[in-house]
Amino acid sequence: MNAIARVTVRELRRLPRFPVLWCLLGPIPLAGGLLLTGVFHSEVARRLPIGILDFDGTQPARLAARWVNAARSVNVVARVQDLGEAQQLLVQRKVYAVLVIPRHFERDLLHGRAPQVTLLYNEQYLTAGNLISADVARAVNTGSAAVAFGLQQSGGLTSAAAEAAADPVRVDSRLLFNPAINYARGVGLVLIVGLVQIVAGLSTIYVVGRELRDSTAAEWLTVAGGSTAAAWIGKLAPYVLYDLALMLVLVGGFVAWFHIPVLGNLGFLALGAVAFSLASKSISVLLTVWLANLRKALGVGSLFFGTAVAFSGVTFPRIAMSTFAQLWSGVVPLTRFMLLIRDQMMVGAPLRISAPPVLVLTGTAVVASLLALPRMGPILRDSRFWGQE
Amino acid sequence: MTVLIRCFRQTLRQIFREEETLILLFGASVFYAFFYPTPYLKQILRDLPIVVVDRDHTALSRQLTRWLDASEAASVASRSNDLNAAQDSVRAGVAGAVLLIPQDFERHVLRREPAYVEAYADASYFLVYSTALRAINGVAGTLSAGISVRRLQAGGATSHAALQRARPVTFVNWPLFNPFAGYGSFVVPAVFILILQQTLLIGIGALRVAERQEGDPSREPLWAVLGGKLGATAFIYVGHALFMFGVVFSLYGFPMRASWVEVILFLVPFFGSVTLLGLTIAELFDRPESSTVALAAMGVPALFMSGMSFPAEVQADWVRVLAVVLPSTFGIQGFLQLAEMGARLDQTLWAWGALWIQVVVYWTLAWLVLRYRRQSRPRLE
Repeated sequence: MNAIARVTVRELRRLPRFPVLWCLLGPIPLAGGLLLTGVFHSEVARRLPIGILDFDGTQPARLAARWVNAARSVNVVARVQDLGEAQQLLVQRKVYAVLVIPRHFERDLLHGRAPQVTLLYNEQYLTAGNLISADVARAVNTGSAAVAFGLQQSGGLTSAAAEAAADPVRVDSRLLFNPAINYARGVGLVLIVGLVQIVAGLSTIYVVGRELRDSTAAEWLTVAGGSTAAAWIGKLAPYVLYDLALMLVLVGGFVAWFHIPVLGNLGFLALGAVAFSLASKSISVLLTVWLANLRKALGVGSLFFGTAVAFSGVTFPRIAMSTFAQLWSGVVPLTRFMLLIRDQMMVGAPLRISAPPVLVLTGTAVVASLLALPRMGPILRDSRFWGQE
Repeated sequence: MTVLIRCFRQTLRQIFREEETLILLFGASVFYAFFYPTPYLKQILRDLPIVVVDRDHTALSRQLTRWLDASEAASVASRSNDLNAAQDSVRAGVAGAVLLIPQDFERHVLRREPAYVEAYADASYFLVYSTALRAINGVAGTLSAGISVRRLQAGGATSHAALQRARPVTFVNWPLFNPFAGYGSFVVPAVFILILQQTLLIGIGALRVAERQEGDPSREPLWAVLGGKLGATAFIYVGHALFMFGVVFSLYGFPMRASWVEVILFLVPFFGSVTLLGLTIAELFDRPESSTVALAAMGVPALFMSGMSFPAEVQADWVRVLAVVLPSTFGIQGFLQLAEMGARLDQTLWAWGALWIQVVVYWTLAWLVLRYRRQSRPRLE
């Protein structure tokens, strides 16, 4: 048996001694993945509760309320009596929005005085607020156009001309790559991959950091036959394979569960996954060998990996970030891997577009490893690095 | 009472003795508070690059392009004749959307036929597609309304009457609590509550494991031990809350609409619930650093289970049931109500009450756990 294999066998034998490590590798990401699947289980947000405050109460006012209730993202759950009650319901989050139909709505409409319908909506809950406001605006404008259309037609226009007169310029919008605005695809996926990155990063820090803390590094090196390279490769190789298996289960499971199509090249995605795992591992090794302290490395590691989703540019685009955040985001492996997932999963982009993210991930792995290199030998040999609490 | 004060001081001494708990319970929150908001400081997406494919080449199509370029949200990155090339730049992520102005666009308008423009937006990023469509719809709507009004005026209507006939019902969107749809104002307050929970859970977990390893020499009554710990963490974390929601919020320009008294009154059971939960789950950990390893990955699911992003109403029922266990669920909901939506404390009674129920439940659990440990402790004397 060669040195690398011996180190790997030793590593696998150590595993049962660290319950928190196998929790981190197995039950925790599985539980997180299941929870996120449950969070996004409806994929799109439909029938969110709203209220209607109808000051008019006439037939046309009720018609306007029906336009709104027909919008898919809302469900009218409350008839509100006054603005005080509207405020109360909004603030208590019993409704995300209140549609206000003014007094004399019918009279003003009949006299051509353009009554104003107002949607008060909760933009603190931005996802719900944006969905509802766009949907209700569309419903009211369509209804309004129908009224205008009726007015124009009664003025003697043909229906096509009346339609054009009511709204001369229209926008025909097509949503590319995620036409249904599926949240599992648009937001859920980055959270799942972010979870994998936390596991990949912290598990590495833990297994290396424990050797230093428990002063078992000498034994580790002995099993490797005194070879630094064999020691590191033998130790980390099983975890790289595990990252890939975890990605297959978690990301693959999530993608299959939500029927997310893979439009691009699966082989290239797999290649990217390897580079992603290596980049996360190298950064973890870099932190651990230089800090030479399990707890500190875990603290810095959870800061780096735990906040990665915010910097990944998926929920908030990189071009809108501050310079500091853009730079930081560039170092986070998740950023590049999500770019690759977007390109090769959702877009089906040509491979030349996806080459840069894979190269950058590989480059990150190489640079982090080179920076770690001067310490990777000494910490196996020099007892001054061991035993720090 | 003196017992309680003794336990309180003992917990504080414990925290200050260990470098690790000191970092977790003091340093971490401060550092995260400065670091986490950095991606969101600009709040909104401005000047999103959009490619215009103008096949009309008329005064009207150029006007539409100019207006789009002038809008705050979008900027015209390039003009092109090739729709495929333009769509490729969206595919490559270089542009956020394509606006196609077809041939005969102006002619259709002049002939009083419906004139369409086509927008292709990148929906793989939600903020990109929504920003692009809002910009394009806004510009097209303005152009449309202008044309209608001019036509009606040409037909003899006064400008006022023309405006009203063009849009028989006007629609006004009135965003509340976050009027500029700032992404930072949306995310950061909720995440700060989560940061307080996670650092406190991890910190108290490390503290309790260390205490257990030392053999837990305390002979004080259990109620006082728990009370002393609650007092100490509440003392430190009220300080954190004042710092985060006072200093950091005003530094970064996030709104804070509640009185401090109400915020602190609201957060006291939150800190209590988190502390007691932390004491309970610390039983699962064999070493002080285990709490970091086990809990670091659970922050993101906890945040989303609160419903601050994807609405709680449309999450799976079993997730909503499990979410009840987490202090962050009610902590985030209630804090957003108070500090961002301007609610009074009595309007957050539901969340506040839930936190107090958690305090009672987790007090019982923590008490049972501590009692069990005490009884199973080998008696050396």
